[in-house]
Amino acid sequence: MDIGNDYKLKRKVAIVTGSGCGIGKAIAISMIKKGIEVCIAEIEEHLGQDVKRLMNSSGTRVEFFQTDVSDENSVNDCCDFVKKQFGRVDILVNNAGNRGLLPSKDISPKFWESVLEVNLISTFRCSRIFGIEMIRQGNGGNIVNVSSIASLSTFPMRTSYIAAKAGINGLTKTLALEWASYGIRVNAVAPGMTRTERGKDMEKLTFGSLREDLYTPRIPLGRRASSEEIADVVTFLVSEKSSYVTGQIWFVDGGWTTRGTL
Amino acid sequence: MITSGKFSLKNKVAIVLRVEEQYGKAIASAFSEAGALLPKKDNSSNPRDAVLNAISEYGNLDILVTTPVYGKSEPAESISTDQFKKNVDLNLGQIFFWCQAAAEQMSIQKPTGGTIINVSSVSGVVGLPGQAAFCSSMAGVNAITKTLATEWQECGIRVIGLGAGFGKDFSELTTLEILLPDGRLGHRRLRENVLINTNELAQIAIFLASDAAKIINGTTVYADAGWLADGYWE
Repeated sequence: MDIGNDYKLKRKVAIVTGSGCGIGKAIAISMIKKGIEVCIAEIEEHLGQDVKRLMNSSGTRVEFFQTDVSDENSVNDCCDFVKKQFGRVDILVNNAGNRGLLPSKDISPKFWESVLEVNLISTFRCSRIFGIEMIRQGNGGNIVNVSSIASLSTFPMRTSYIAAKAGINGLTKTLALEWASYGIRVNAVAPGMTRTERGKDMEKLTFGSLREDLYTPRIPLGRRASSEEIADVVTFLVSEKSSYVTGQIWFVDGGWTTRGTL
Repeated sequence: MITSGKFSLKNKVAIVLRVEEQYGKAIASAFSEAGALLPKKDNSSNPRDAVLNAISEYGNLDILVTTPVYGKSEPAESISTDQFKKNVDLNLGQIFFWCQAAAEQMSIQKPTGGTIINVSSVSGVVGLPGQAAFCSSMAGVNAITKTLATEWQECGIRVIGLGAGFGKDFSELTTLEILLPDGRLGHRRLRENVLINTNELAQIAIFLASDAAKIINGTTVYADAGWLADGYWE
């Protein structure tokens, strides 16, 4: 994707949560390559530092702040760090998440809470903390939440994850309506099956339709996405070229959710 | 309302969640009128205990109806994360665990099977300013309705959503006026004739719970008088 000056991304400031690996890392790298200054908000220090080191020579400012999105103080500290280091907040990408993989009959309240917390509650927490800063600055802003095709299609053993991701879609629409008057756009990208480091664990799973050899023929485009293909859509959504898009859930899924049958 | 033959709930054992709230109250009373058996013991505390109560009283469980609680409107930026979390727990987390407790029983009783109806809202489909947690929760409920239906269909359990529109006798959405972000008074995207009442909702719940609706599963039916379909062209 050729992002020229009219995309107005240069020297914008973005926070990308969970950007030490996988789709989050690809989003951070995609943005940095387009001139967006990025704070890598990642819980695993070595992963965050690695991305920072990798992109240090890019000529665009990159910082790492160890952030636990499920901890209110940690997110507040991250916001203070960004304001101090970068001077402002333009873009927030709520990417951090985990997966919950259990039959619905075996889900305990503790398990449910852990999945909802990291995926949905933390998306609200970060949106609110950074959203308040965007409102205070008075220059608008951009929030992109990473949802999933699971928010629309069903998958076995993932009720808590599905609830959280669908919740993110609901939150995206409501925040978009509430904050439109502040010039803050809020959208979500819902990736389909994507090749990531963590996704390698998924390949070991042998139940349901989540085995790659079984689900790949189900994807109209016939393959999984690369992390970069998801990341580029996120970068487009935070650019001026998508300035009339808000409250939307963009399914980037190779056609998965359009196809009705397995 | 037809409540005979396949449309009847006669002798079906039903738990209706939150009978002290508007939705639960109307649905419980309509279910009784349609012949359903509702446990006499208070069921508001713990899902597993409530199911055990129903079993000790009637021997099996045919229907569970879960209902949400609509809260007051507040801008997202002034809701604390804890408040958000509590609301999501009330309207999504607890709903899941009620479904789980009911399904546990429905999958072991003879014959197996039953119907779960999750009352949700049009706000599971579109955003409503001031309702960040409620909209998140209702979108979540619509989603778990689908996935639970898929997981449990082999046990003969149907899971259906009933998406409520704006009400006359429930929620704070009784006025057609709304405060716009710039302080002006505007009109909600509502007309008097699209406001529904809880009794109308309860009649649809009876149909969905009855054998006449056996082919309906894993979807949410909206009782919104066309509100979601209205593109707001005046």
